[in-house]
Amino acid sequence: MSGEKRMDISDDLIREALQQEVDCIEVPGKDRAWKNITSSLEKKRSSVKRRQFKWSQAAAVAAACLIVVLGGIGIFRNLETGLSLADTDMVSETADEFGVLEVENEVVQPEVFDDSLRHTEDSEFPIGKADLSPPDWPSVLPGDYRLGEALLLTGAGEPAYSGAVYFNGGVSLLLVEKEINEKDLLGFTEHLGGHMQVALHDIERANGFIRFSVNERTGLAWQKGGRNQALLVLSGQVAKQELKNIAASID
Amino acid sequence: MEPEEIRQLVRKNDNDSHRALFEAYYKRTYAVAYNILRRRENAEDITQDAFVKAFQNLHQLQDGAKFGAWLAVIASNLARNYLKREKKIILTEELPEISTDSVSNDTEALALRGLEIERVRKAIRDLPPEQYQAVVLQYYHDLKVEEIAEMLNIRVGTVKSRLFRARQKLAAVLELDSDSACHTSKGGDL
Repeated sequence: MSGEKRMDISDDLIREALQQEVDCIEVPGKDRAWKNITSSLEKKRSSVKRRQFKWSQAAAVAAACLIVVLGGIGIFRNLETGLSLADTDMVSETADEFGVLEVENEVVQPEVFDDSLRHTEDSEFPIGKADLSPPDWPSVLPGDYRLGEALLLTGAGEPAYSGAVYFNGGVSLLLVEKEINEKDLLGFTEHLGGHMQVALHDIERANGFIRFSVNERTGLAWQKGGRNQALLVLSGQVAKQELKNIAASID
Repeated sequence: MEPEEIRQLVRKNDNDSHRALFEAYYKRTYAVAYNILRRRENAEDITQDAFVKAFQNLHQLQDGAKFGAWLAVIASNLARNYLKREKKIILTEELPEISTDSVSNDTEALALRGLEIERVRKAIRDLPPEQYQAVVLQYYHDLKVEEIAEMLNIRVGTVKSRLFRARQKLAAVLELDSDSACHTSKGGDL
């Protein structure tokens, strides 16, 4: 008997064996399980609304906002070039010529930035506060990232957009979103903190995403379901593809 | 349950549809959790958690017909995480054996088939959780390798590798048992 034939038989046997594993198993009381499930769902629904802000996480939130701000600049400048989201052209910035974007052979000056509004050490970073009426954030993102905190993030002291911090071990992610308004994605990024300028790296557009990195932290921004959304890695390392998978899973 | 019916239930996403999905998938989801955890109470808890998470995030499921596979992924991930967290050595509970009565009066071929299935079942229970997870998704839920990779957020190559190793183990057990079965049944040189 050849090894190949044995593997064919195994395919068939595996299916049958798995089916028997399900058929033969004794399951505990369904009614009790269903009662527990409905009870848990009800509790979770109400607890999300009552979620309280934890000041112990304020530092993490502040850091998160900073990353958002830095990342937002990247998106903002990227959009200033006038390319569509679906455009797959690479955009890069020279390290020396800060604030000048190169798009293929075109050089675009970000004239909207005002030097007087550049970030200084005295500038206040936007900070988040507890979102008492958060949107229905998914409790778990692909990769088993658990919802840690629902936030209302602010830009220039004004409520700007909803955010949620997710954790999985040492890795944390910030998911932010805002409904598309008349300002579109541009307005979204403006509110994220378009007044500060920082050096950007690895800005790339592809398949509807804008990917960027700031200080070696990666982020993605996209539009979906009438909303602008962004996902940023706050701590730890997350592969680009994993970020895309998470982004794709978010409605 | 037909795929279109499942899609409709997922789309509906209300209490009644949740109940219908629960009725249809509870047993198989429990089986997945139990095969990883080997503890009835833990498997019951994990199964319930899996349903809660699934219902909370049902709107994220793009193809409702894949609800069963998606739920299996959630349950198996929860079970795997539980094992990692607890870092416990799992002592296997006795699993119900396949009754041989039904095959005793059948043909020899059927009886042998039954024995082979029993060996595969035992071997499946011994698979590492991540390999078991891939096997369930491919052979029970009939997902393609690419779909498994997408659901588990891992690379296609990793899925292939897990499946290959799992199949190797299952095939090896069969070969081993069939060799030993030959020795015992023939009784050797007497």
